[in-house]
Amino acid sequence: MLCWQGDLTAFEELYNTNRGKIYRLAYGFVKNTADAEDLLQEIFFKAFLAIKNFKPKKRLIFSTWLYRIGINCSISFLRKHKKQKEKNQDILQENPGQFKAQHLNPETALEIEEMHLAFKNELNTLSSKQRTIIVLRYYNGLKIKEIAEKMRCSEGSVKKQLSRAFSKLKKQLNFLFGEKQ
Amino acid sequence: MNCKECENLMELFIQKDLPVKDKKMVEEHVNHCKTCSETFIKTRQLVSTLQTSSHNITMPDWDKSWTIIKQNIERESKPKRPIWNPRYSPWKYAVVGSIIIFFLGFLAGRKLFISTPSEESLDLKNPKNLQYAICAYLEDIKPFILEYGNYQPTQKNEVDFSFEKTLASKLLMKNRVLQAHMLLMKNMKIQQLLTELEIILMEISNMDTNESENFLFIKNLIKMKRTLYKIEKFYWEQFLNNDLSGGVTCKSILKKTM
Repeated sequence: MLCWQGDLTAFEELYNTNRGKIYRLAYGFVKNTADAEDLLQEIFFKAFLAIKNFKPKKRLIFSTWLYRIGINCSISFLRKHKKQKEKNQDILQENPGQFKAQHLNPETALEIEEMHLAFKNELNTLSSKQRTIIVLRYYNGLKIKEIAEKMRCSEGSVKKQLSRAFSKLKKQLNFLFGEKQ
Repeated sequence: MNCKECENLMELFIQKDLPVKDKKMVEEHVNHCKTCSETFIKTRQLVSTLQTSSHNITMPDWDKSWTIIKQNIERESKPKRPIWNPRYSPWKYAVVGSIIIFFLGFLAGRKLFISTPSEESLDLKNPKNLQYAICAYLEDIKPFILEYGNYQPTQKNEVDFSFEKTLASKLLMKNRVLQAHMLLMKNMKIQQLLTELEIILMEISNMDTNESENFLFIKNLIKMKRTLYKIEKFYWEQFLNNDLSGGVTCKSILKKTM
């Protein structure tokens, strides 16, 4: 309640409880630490400015509201930095050690690393809705019902989009999977 | 359940997000269909890839991020100062200061650029100006000389003697100024006329009593020196030599007609 009056300490508590989720969401979209941090700051800044307009309802709790802001910010961020992102991907490809598959034999670890790289590129080809679903499901570990709530759509449509995204990813990564088999 | 339906439910099956009934159906289908079992393996690999990539996120410095957010918020929530605020004191000083500067500038400009024309500022070094000044002077002195030149003894009681005296001393001052300028011009004719007038004026201003003898003396002086005639002559000369336009003078016109 204090947040509505512009109390920063109260807002800090909200930041502390939600920062992990929002950072994961941002990271799922931008796929690099620096941009994710920037995006995290932007999301919380916008949330503070808009908090006066937030009215808690039965279905709308603060975290859901924050997720919505996060999703919108991330999508607009991606649109803005589309060109810059292409460059960033090249840099990431040069540093493949970021994702190390641990506790696996070297061969499998190498394969999984390769998959990560290919996978990063393929995620960019998904539509923003499909991408949001993938990010929320795997980076934030949400259930279908929760995703539907955050995205303001029905569970059925979330399931449909998820299966479409999967079939798309499978098609595009077919070559890699084929090798593995 | 056909293959398409099964494929759609595979992800949910792997993530254990399916009701028991659907779960059994998918299980059965995958066990019996070869293509679907291959697809199932692919889907599982994809899910595991996604999960591992999401597990390997390095978390940022939370406190650093918070300080940046805080700074941004504080910067935004600062009250914006309006452009014009009479309560904001520097504005007051600025307005008062600019009014004073404007006023001083106005005064200085008036003094420097708008000079009021006055008789003192008339440049007598210019010979044309000097000629005009002499003409004006003679214009002033002419009635005075006329009065004294035509003096009758019965007239004496009507003349205000003290007034005549001050007028004479004023004319004398003017005479001296003109003479000083005439010395530079080296025009002897006018110089002579001015000296004669000076003598007459001195006589008038030095008169002690208003006796008829003094007046008669001045009358004789004017007659003897032919002062009136000289004044008239000077006038006519000025008039005849006066440049009407483009070197055409009254004298040249008279010559042509005669």
